[in-house]
Amino acid sequence: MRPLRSKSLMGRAPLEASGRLSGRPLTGFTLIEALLAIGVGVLVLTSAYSSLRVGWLSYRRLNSQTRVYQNLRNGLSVFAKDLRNSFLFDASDEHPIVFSGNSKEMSFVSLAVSRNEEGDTYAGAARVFYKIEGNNLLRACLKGRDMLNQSLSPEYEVFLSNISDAGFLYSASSGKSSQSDQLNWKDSFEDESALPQAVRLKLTQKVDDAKDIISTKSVILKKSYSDE
Amino acid sequence: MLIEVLVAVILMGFSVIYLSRAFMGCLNTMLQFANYTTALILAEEKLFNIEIVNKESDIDREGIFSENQDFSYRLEVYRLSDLELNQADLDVQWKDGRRSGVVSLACYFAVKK
Repeated sequence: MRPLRSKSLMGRAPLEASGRLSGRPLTGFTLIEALLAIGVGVLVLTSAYSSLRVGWLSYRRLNSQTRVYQNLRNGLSVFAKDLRNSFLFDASDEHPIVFSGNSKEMSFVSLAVSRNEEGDTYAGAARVFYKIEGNNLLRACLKGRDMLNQSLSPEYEVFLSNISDAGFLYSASSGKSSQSDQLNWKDSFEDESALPQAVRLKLTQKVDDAKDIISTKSVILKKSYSDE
Repeated sequence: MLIEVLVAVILMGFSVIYLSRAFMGCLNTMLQFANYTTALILAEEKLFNIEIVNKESDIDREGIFSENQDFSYRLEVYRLSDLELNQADLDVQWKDGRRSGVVSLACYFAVKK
């Protein structure tokens, strides 16, 4: 491309060959052409920026939503696994470990995977605690002999966060009857001799710039489901 | 010179178009993932209800999820002749603008006597 001459930007028409500088004809853009080009460029850049910004905001919203969904699915999977593996622990002492729960916390004995010094994994009994505190669902686990130590308090870890509303429900209907309308959901469970038939977790999670995620997870505790 | 400018503009136009399409495709995938996960959670809860009800006549065949009205379900239950089992095929569908999706799950439950 030929270099622009300064005069061509001052509003003159393309210059005829004057031969004043180099003997070649002077060509370039007029001021109106340059302004028009700049205006069009600004318009194009503005529209590109606004669409990029909309896309970027959507990406951020979807990214946080996706992260919440991933955590939620992982969390609900672990929650269901803990409950499906739960069992009545026959300690045969003064302090039996029973399934106990209310709308904000629960504890029970379940199977937890551990690793020994040789690096082998094995499933052992563990006391699992769930607690809803503030905006978090917390989980703690006391494994092995620790679960028999009544004075030991569990160390909770954040299990699910950004929770605006949550609660546990328990169904304790007994016998073979298992129809849905006969499932009697209560917000607490107190029975030293049995496990609940099912446990339900209802929670609402907040997501930045998006509507809340409402989810429900119900788990049947197979061992209490038997006819025994 | 005009041809040079036109070629440059066309090349830039194509690159911008393809970049924006890739970006939109990425957004679309993330949106589909979010919808898919929601549908899976809803479907698992629905299957829980089917397992609990355990009686063909008491099961709703079609409907919209009350907790998430963008998602609907359709259920087909039929008897497996050789076994004392019912098979339930559950489709959870959603519609998001012009796009729609479906998650299909199946479960088996004992025939209620």
